[in-house]
This record gives sequence, structure tokens and C-alpha cells, in this order.
Amino acid sequence: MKLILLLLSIGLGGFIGIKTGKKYKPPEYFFKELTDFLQYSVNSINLYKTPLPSIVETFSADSNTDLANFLKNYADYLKNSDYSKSELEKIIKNLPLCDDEKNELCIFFHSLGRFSEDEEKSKIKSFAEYCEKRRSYYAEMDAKYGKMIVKLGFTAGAIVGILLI
Amino acid sequence: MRDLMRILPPEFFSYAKDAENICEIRLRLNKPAVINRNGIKFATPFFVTKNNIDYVLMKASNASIYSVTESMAKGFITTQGGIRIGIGGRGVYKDGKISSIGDISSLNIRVPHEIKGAADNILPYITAKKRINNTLIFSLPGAGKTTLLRDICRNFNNGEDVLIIDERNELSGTVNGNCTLDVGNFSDLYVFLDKKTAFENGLRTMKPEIVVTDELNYDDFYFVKRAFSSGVVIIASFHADDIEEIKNICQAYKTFFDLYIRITAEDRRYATVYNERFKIADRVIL
Repeated sequence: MKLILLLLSIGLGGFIGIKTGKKYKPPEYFFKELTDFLQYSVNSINLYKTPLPSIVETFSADSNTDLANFLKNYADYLKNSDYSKSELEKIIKNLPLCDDEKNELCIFFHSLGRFSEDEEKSKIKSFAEYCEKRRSYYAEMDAKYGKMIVKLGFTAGAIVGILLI
Repeated sequence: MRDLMRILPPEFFSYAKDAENICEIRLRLNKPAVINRNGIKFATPFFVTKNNIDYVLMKASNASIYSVTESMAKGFITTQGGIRIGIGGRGVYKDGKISSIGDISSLNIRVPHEIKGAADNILPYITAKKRINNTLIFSLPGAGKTTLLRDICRNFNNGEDVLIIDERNELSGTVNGNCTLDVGNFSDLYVFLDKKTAFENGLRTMKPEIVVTDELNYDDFYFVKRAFSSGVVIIASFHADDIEEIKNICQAYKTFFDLYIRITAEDRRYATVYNERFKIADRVIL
């Protein structure tokens, strides 16, 4: 009975540790994908001046990630909305990002498509740099704290288990 | 008309009822919007804001201003359904050349009308003597040259290969490669290509029997002349109201058509048909 209790406690602690330790992964993956999308956008604008809704739809088709789902909503927004910032905020609010990042994302996507080709490309490139910085930050945080939090979870579970016994 | 409603600000909808009769809408910043219905203009109580202008441009460019900046530099953009939006504002120069229009303060939204059968009364002249005649259609702006040209294209249904040089995308209203206006089943399209490139490439690679093109400029007569010498039939339009002016241009460029058709919009639309010697041959109701 005591062994089961101990194992259960370690398991629970580990589970919480794994869950908490992975919190840096979704934003890291989001920014990685977003950087790819921005690169794809620059190429499409450069080569064919493809309209934004087509770029967004092509990139997000057959995918179900956070970014793909956001882009699908963004394509709808481009086609059917009145281009208001509040509408865009609604589709950004559920992304796995902090408030500052959501705000940056909102400013960027709200202004996308409103400039000449050169301005558009330079804006996208500078936002891609920002995304890359955020991705590196999350990757660093994951390497630094991700595994440690998992280990801490198991350890805390073991300590609680021992205390309970 | 869905295409027109798509680009108009929602708060303007109530003024754009009976959209079928609308020929033109003028939006001027901080001034009342003006609607032209069948040639009759009236000012609405709707005052145009910067947001309204931005909204129309975003909708018309498919939320991608960058995709229409070259066209904007020429003073217009064309959107779905062949709707042409003339743009007024500040010229933006880059390397000494105009690159776009900034501080946009007025828009002139021209709605094309697809009238099937518009060319029925003049087709017998174009196809007289069992051949297709080189034809120049001329009139003042807004008389219906483009509508007529579109209907002529649609009527070439006997397998003639027609190349449409649609420099302003008003004939075909092409969006993402799809024609939103009916230009017949035997038409190839060059959209947004200048006449020089279009004539040079088109004659060499598309091997057309007929070339249809809208709004010739003076310089374009040179390319028309070269096309004549390749045995291609040209049907084109030109901004002018006087056959004497047409005669002078044709003589200056030594480029002569078989037929000249002048469109006039009085109580009804009339077509005055002139022969190759610039003499009146007939006058028909369109």
C-alpha cells in the first residue's frame, strides 16, 4: 500500500513536472512556424505578388497547428471583416503567447498588406527577425529549465510520497 | 453587382441600392459621395472618410496593396468584375519614376456593364464581305466602347483564335487567372501587359487570328501597323469624338482600318459606321 502511494505520488509529481516543463515548447514551435510562414510570404510576394489571402490559405492548408489555425481565421478575417483591430485581437487571444507577443502579432498582422512591395518585404523581414529572437529565447528557456522542471516534479513527488508514508 | 457591394464600405450600402443602374461612384475625402446612375449624377449625404477610402482600396486589392502598386502608379486598379477604380492623390517617385500614389484623396469607381447582344447591330459590318474587318471603335469616355468590344469578343464563336490585350483588365475582369466577365470561348488573354510587349509576344507566341484591344494610345498605332503586316485582324478602341481626328492619326501613322465606328450616347446609344475612306456608311441603334 505504502509503495503504491509512493509510486502514485512520484507519478503525479512527474506528470505535473512534464506538463509544466513543456510550457516553452508551444511558443517556440509557433515562432518557428511563423518564421517559415514569413519567409514563404516574402518569396510569394517577390516572385508573383500573390495576394495575401492566397498566401495565408496555401500555407495553412492541411495543417492543424496553432499557427495554421490562426492563419485560417486570419484568411477569413481578410476576406470578410472590416479590417478592424478588435476583430483581429479576438482571433489572436487564444494563441499560446504572452500579452506583449500577442500585441506585437496584432500590430504586425493588422498592418500586413497595406504597403508597397518593398515596404511590405522589409516589414516582414524585420518581423521575422523578432520571431527568430523569440524562438531562440523559448528554445534557450526550454533547454535551461524544461528538463530541470521535469526532474523537480519527480523529486517533489517522491518527497511528498515519503512524507505521506 | 455583388462585386461592387463587396468593395463598398458597409455604411454606404443604403445609398447604393439599385446597384444595377450605377455607372460610377465618386468618393472624395471629406466630401459627399457622388453616384452616377445611368448618366444622372447626385450627391449623397454620405461624407467620405479616410477609413472609407482605405477600406475600398483594401477590398479592391484583396487586402494586398503591394499586388496593385504598379497599377496604382498608372492611376487605377481593377478588381473583380472588371470594376475600375481611378485613384487620385500624391505621386510617389522613386529613382525619378512614379512608383505609386500616396495620400489618396479620391476614388472613381467605374462599374462595367455586361450587355450581351450589345454588338448585334454592328457585327454584320465587322463581318461583311465574308471576312473579319479591321475595326476601330471610338467615342468619348463612358459611351460604351469596352462593353461593345467585350460583346464582339463573345461573338467570335466559330473557332477564330482571339487574343485579348487587356491592359487595364476592364475587358475580362480577370482575378487570379479567372475571367469574371464573359469574353467568349476562343479568347486568350494578356492582362496588365503594355501594348508593346503584348503585341510583340502575342503575335509571336499565341498565333492569333484576331487581336482585340481597348484604349489605343497614339504610340500603339505603330504596333497595330506591324500586326496588320502579319495578317492579323485588329479590333480596337480609341478615345476620340471626331472622325477627322481619327483620320489625322491614321494618316500620321499610315495605319488604316477597314471600318471606323463612332459611338454616341444621346437618348439612345448610336453607332455611326464609317468606311475605309472615312465616309459615313450607316448609322445604327445599339
